[in-house]
Amino acid sequence: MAEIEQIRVSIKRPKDSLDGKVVGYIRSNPFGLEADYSQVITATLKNHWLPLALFSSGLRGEELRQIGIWAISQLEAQISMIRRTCGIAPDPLVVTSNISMQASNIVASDSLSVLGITSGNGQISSTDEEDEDDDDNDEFLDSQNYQEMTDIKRMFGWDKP
Amino acid sequence: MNKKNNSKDYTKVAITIDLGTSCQKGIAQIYPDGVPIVLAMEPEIADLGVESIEYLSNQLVQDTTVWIGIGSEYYVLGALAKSMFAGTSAIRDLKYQYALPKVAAMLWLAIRRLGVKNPDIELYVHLLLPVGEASDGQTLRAKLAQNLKTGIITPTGRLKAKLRSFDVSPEGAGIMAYRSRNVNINYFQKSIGMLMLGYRNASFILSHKGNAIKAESTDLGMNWVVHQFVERTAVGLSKDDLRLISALAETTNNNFDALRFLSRKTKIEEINADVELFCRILPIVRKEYCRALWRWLRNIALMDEILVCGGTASFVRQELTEHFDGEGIPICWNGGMELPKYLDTMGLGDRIADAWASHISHIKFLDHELSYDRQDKPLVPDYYVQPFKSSKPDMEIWQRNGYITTSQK
Repeated sequence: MAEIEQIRVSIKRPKDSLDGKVVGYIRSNPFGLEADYSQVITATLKNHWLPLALFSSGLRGEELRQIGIWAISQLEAQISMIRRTCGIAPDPLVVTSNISMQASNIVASDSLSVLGITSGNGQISSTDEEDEDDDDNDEFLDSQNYQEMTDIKRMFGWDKP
Repeated sequence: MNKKNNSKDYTKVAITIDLGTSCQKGIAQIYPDGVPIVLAMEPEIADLGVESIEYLSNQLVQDTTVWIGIGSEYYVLGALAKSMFAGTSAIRDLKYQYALPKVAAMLWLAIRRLGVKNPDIELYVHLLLPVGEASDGQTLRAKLAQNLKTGIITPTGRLKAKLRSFDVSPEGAGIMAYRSRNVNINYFQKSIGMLMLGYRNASFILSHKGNAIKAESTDLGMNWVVHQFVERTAVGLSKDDLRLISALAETTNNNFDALRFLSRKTKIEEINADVELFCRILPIVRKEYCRALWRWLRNIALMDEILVCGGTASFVRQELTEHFDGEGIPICWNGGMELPKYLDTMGLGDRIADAWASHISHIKFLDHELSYDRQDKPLVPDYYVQPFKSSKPDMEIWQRNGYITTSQK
């Protein structure tokens, strides 16, 4: 029978350091959730890193999006818990996920993505030369026909077309 | 008339570029209804051998550093050009000389920052040049169009696009146009002055009934102030210290702390002595600068209004206001234009006022030519929040460091 390959993480920290205090806190069964503290630690890691880890291992498309949505929800929940506990009012300037999605839709029809940079064969534009030779000049816009621009340029002594 | 209808769906990118000598600025947007973004790049440029490019291509792609290959010529622009290749901002050369690689670099930056993924791009370019460098832009247009057709080599691959318009305007034209549209007097029937105080020089234009009757430039820009300040203080300041300009500008907000960081002394008493010296010299230099300006502007004819713009203007705002008040000439700052509240100016503030006003002119021109009905919608909506700029570089840093081992190859 094939044994499942295991990965072991073992971290040692002084008890009084911030790291030590965090682990101590998690072990103290906060909120009475009775979750195993190693589970809390891995859950925390997943909230933070899972989408990137899966992206790195090749996951794309809807599945990656779902994982992203899940992780963001977890992190947002955590943000709201920190706010309540520490008495921090929401910052109106902080871009929450909904707004930023809306915002990048405004900026470009395609949302920003790291895939946009790395994909393809290293060519930003793939327009083939062959099929465009004939229509290069017929759609060129000339500002000479635009009255306001010529008027303003004349005020600067730029009368030449 | 269209001979054939393009089956391809092109992404239209409209960009307005100001090749400033202290900072290259641009406003770019996806036309017609993308929200404009501000682009800024350090102005240094250096030409390189192809072997240096090999080294650069292994560096992290950053928005502050761009390299560009045009034909067999290579250039590096931005921060790295200065620090590594002793590039200059070409302050003594005509801006025109390096215009092609500089424009190409701004185009690359725009397409990247706008996140355009469509390989089929149409470009609408509006370029600002100093008043004294009048040009019809035909040569530059032809070169740019040709190179965009064959492809400009960039850090992220070959940039190909169709150049659909290319217009060159004098600096200040955008602000003049903005004012003429929004004031109740007919600008083309009046005497209008325009004073532009930039980094490199100062320009004055006098237009009477719509025609320029005076257009002059002098080297009385911010670098004159910096030069005088460094000479007078004589405590080892460097004219090339980028913090110097911002520190001097800060003093107009009564913030003299920034001057403290200019001191090269280590002991606290010596630093205090330096700051005291700076505070004593600065008003003198400011006064001399103004006197030089007035000397230059003497013999100005009567004007119905003077428009003042340029990054250096705010440095002497009070003095200018008093002066023109004394002359009985109404003064109008930046053409009375306010930057949109939610436009992220990348900390440039009023320094992008002219570029922004010119971009408005540019978009109006395109709307007119392409028959787009904007219905008075503002370019930057009132509810708009700029998306985080940092997301992309972060991703790349992570990739570079191996946190994300992308399987795309």
